[in-house]
Amino acid sequence: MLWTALYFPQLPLEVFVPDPPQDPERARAISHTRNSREIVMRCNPAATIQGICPGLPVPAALALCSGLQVLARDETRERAALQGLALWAYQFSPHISLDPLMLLIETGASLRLFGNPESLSGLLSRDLDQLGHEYRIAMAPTPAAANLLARTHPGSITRTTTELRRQIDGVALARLTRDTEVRALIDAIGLGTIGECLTLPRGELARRTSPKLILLFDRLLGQAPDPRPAWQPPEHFEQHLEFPGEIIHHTALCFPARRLILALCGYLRGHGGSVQHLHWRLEHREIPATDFQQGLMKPSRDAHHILDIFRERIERVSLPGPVVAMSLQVTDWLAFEEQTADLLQERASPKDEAFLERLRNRLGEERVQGLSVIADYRPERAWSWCPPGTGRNEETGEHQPLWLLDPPCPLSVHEQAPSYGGTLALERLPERIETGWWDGFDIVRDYFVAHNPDGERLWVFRDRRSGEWYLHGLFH
Amino acid sequence: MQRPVTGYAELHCVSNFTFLRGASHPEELVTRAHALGYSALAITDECTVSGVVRAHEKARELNFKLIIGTELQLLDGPGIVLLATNRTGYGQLCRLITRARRKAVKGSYMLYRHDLQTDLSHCLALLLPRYREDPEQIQWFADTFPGHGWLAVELLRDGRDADHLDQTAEWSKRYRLPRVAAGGVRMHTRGRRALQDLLTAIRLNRPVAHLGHTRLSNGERHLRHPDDLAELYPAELLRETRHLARRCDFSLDELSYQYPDDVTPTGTTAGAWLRQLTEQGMEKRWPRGCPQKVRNQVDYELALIGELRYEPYFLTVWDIVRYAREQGILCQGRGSAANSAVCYCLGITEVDPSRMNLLFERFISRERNEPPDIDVDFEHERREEVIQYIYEKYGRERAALAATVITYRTKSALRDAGKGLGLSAEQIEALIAAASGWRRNGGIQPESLVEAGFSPDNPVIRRLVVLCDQLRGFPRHLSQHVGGFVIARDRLDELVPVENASMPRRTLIQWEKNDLETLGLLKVDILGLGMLSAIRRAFDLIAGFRGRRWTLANLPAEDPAVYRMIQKADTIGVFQIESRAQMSMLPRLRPENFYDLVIEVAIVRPGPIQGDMVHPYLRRRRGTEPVTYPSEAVREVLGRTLGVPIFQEQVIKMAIVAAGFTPGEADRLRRAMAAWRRRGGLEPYRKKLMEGMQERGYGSEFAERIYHQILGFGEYGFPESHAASFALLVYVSSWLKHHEPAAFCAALINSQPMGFYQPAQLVQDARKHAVVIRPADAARSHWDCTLEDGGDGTAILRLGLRLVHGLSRNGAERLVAARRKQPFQDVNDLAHRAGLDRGDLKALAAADTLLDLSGHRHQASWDVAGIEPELPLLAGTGIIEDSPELPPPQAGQAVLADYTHTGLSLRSHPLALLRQQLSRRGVLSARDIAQHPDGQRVRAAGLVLIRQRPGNGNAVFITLEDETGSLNLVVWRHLAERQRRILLSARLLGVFAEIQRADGVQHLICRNLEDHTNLLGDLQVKSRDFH
Repeated sequence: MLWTALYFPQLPLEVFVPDPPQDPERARAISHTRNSREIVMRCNPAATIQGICPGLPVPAALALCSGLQVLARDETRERAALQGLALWAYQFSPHISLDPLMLLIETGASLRLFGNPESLSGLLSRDLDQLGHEYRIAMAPTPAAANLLARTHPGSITRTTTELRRQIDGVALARLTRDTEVRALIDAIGLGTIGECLTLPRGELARRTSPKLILLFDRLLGQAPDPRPAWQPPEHFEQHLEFPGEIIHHTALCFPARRLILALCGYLRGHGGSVQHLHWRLEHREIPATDFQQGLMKPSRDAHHILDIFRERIERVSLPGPVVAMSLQVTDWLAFEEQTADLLQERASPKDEAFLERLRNRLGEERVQGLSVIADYRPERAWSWCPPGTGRNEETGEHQPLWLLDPPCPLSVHEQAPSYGGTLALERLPERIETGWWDGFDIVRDYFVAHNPDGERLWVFRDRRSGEWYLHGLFH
Repeated sequence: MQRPVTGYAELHCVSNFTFLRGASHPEELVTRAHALGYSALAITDECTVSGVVRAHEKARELNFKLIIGTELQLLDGPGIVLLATNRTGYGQLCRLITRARRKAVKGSYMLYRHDLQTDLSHCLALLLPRYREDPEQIQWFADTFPGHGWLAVELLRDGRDADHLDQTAEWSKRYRLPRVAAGGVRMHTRGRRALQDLLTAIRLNRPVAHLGHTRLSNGERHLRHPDDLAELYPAELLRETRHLARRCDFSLDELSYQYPDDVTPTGTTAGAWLRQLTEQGMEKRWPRGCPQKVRNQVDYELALIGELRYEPYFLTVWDIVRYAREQGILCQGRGSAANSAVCYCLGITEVDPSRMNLLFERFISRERNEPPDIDVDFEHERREEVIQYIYEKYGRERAALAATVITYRTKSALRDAGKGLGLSAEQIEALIAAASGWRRNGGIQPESLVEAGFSPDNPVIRRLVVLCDQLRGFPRHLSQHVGGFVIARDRLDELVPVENASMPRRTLIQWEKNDLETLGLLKVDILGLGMLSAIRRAFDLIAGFRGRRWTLANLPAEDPAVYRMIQKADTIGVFQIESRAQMSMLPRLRPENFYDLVIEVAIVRPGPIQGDMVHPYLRRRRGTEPVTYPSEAVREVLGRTLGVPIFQEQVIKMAIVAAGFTPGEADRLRRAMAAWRRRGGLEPYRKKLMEGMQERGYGSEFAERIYHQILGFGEYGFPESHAASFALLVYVSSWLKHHEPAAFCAALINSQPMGFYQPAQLVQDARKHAVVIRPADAARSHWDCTLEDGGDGTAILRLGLRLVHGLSRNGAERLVAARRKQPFQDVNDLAHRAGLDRGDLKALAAADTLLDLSGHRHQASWDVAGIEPELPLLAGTGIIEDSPELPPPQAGQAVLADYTHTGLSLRSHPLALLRQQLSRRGVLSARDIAQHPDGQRVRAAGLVLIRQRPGNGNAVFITLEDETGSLNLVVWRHLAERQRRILLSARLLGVFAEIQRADGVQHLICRNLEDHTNLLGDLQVKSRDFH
């Protein structure tokens, strides 16, 4: 058995896109909760320079560096990232197991394929360097040992248990277990390293700790089985990548694409498959995503080749705006005969949707809009455009007209009364609207229902700051 | 357009005491209503009268009519407003509020329609109908308030005013309810509109931008101009307000308040009983006959007390103190009561009035017509017993705690306003960090904004700064006063509503201390003081060890040896004069007698320091400056302090004799002094003071200093009598430290947390004074520190198990009880007989208290880890174990472990272990530095004991400790700012500094700071930071 541990120490940080994206050098830290306190878990070099380090309480960190951006640890994202890495690693061994921030790969069986451990390690490193994560590698006879050594002796390759015993002798027990009870006991009796603990009488130690510690040692040294559920790759390949910044140029998209293609090819190798159709999606900040397909003349799992084709394909994609994320999906790597027809088939849509679709095709998409009500006293801000059929349409005030002028139309004043097609008669008791200070559009107005000589009902207001009159709406 | 109706009275107006709804202070509302020419204003805060006293005070000043009322939202009914027409109506109102509040959890109330079926005959009621109110509710209202109910018509220009007017006219006819205009006021001017939105946002916990229609659509809910109202309302509705206002004829000045007379036995009068108790006390205090001077004073005081009818008050306080004495709780009156010979005879105070030249007028005066204020300190850990005694004796209908109004401070205002304006949590924290820290002075400085990465010109930040400024000082919620009790003869809830406190078994009234003072109501402060606990414990320890019982009264007075110790600033652990500032004053002031201690206590305070009175006093005392007085009148006031004002009342008196204040004005000045930090308002006094003093020929520089002293006193001014009470505790604790250092140290540790110093420093100091100290030991220690006999009558201090971190008190007490039956044989025996759990056992082992029963802490930890508590005790049949050979801790490890598990070490100081390393870096010890000349630059390092930043913020004072002593550092502001991080975070601090010595006081003026904390490993050293 030879287990390879890949440890990604900065993964908690790496799964977040820097904010603002223009400033990846901003001091950032990931926090997690320990004993109901927010503690810094990881931080970037910019934060380290400011004196931030893991273990520091967040308020203290903010006191040291007030510009620090603190993000709560997101283990879901970390797991997703690890899954993505597992997809890639699948080419090296079908037996992969996921620990927090860690991939454990049983590579003993695949050594025949890759030669000796050193060359396997080289292969792994070559890909990992391109995948863009900080990583550490260690190889050891047991998964527990590989996990431990990846953190304490990165780069080490330990082949036998005798070698292993020597290797771990001086490692602090605290690196092996987080169990506070165990750590407190070992600390209290004045010991510290794994080697020292292994000299304690076994039965007596078992009685004082839970049997877990003994089991931990046994698994570490391969004296007890350490069964690990093998990670199951998903049926379909799908991976998502958020960028640390905005990408504007086509060519710059090749770098993230390479990461995705590498992962795909690892996945395909693991499954003994190949691919002919790739579904790409480019995401933008505020506009809909750009989807496009990449086809290959014949099925392949050659990352270089696929990337070359991608390079050509991406030139023909028109980008409506900067790209902030991209994803790659492959659903048909086994049955690619069936898919072509599927792509051309149109979805049946309900009648009004079809009508809308036609309207949009005729008038242009942006000219067909729905209306939505917003809870704001300022008439200008009380509504917004929205895609047809998605708006909120609660009742508006009955004393306000539906038809508003944008912008309000200034009215001339004759003998102190506003006029619009003749002097206006105002109904008594205006509605006063004074609000909006918080976003720079503060209005101070008295609204009146007014009648002109033609019998039209109008909605007019007097700006209380300038004293000027405006027509703002028409009643039916 | 109609002519404006003059004399409009606003009958529905809430202040910011309707938390998070009212956007103006009560004073602002009154001032504005008065300026607008209203005939009256009703403050109708929602189910509370907390804000009315402030409004009343302002109204009294402006000679304006204030109406007391309340707005109530019924759970099954409409909103209404009740207004008190007279004293009876006010009592009805208070009882209703009490009822609504006492049913609900703290801070809320519950009221149903049926609750109003109580007697409210002397209140006027306004219905606040909603737009299209349920007719059934209107009918109910009409039935409930026949002849004294009105429909309030509130027109707020929301576009529905015309409809609402028509509707209310119809209701009025149908239900025979007269209509009256009202404004539903929530702010004094339209300008509070933004703040109003922010308050809504805070209340609903949503950003301002997302309030939608929950915000107000305009700023009409302010005190509107009468012309404006005339434009909106029919004239008869406006006139009706005046009619209602005239029917409300109640002022808070009518509240007369009588102190309970429960204490007086039947068959005698309060006066006779007080005299009898005083005479008895006099005999006890002066068994060999009372000096005539005191007797005359007592007679004079009793006459005045009788004339002002304060006897029940004195008897009530006497009774509380008597109860505490019976329970063995040490107590002492503080504050101006120490001026009274009667209080001394009654045992309320402990400072012998014949020992000092105190003036009873300061305590009670005929002219001032203000009730006496007796504050009593009790042992801090036993104060609750006294509080519960009071509740029990008088019942909750008659006794309750005064409230403290918790107001927005910079920090909380930033937090809530920032949240409301949509700033992220981290941005807010950054702002708070920038606005607080070592740079506190209230406002938000542009520099600190820039430092935190915000532009002061950014519109969001500008709004934030403005709103924070408005929000600061706004009340947030009521909390209980630390110990101010109000006790009534009759029902308290007809005087002021009573509500629940957050602590179970506590109730509080809706007014705070200042409100009570304004209305002339009596209260007694039941305060807690840690030093009293420590002194009582020291007395107990000495009594147990030597068989001699000391009391505050019988301790030998004026012991020169004690003063010699004080003059050397050898005062760690002593009450008050253990602080850094006090300690550096002692060798300069060199107190020689009790009155010097009184001055010492009072002079190291913000008042005299900001008034720059310290140096003139020292110079005069030393004789390097002649003692002169600008006038004979000033000599009267300042004679005892060499012509330099030191005590608060001297400054007040100066305002009278030197600036021509009337006693009434001077008294208002005194109260303004206490409040200016929160409310400002000292400017007019400054003007008067400067002008008055100039007129009378005093230099403007002197006047300016007096004014600065007034600013400095603020909330922390010490009157002479108060300083005297404290000085007594200073003397007593100094005496104990000098004559019984072991008992004193033990008592201090047993009373932790208190004082400036941690047990580690107290123990180190005691050892310096040749006290032998033995470690905590499971075979010998009790929970508390105890005294053991050294064989020759010397007391040896045995540390208590209370120092063992993680050991439960119950466990320790079971251990002591089991040990008393029979000494323990081994750890197993101890564990089982004391019934200790794993946590307790581990704590005992880690703290190295099992040396005899097991072995060193490593061995002991291994042993206790093997104990299985569920096994029945079968002597000698324990499991036979293979015992590993565990290495004993090394010297450094042992010290670290001692600190970690007991907070101190008797082995050696951690710095001693690092001395070699430090010496290599050229760091000198405290002892070495004392040998170096003034002005030399040296390197030093030590554990940070205390960081202090005095009010003006020009410097940070740090006390360092190494194995040879302590060092006082001064870090000037520029260095403090430059090396802020090290300054705030280093636990082992190194400095490069210049020695400065004067009057036997040594300071190190820092040039550079270094953080050596990493040398300590994981040693836990806590400092006490006083920001």
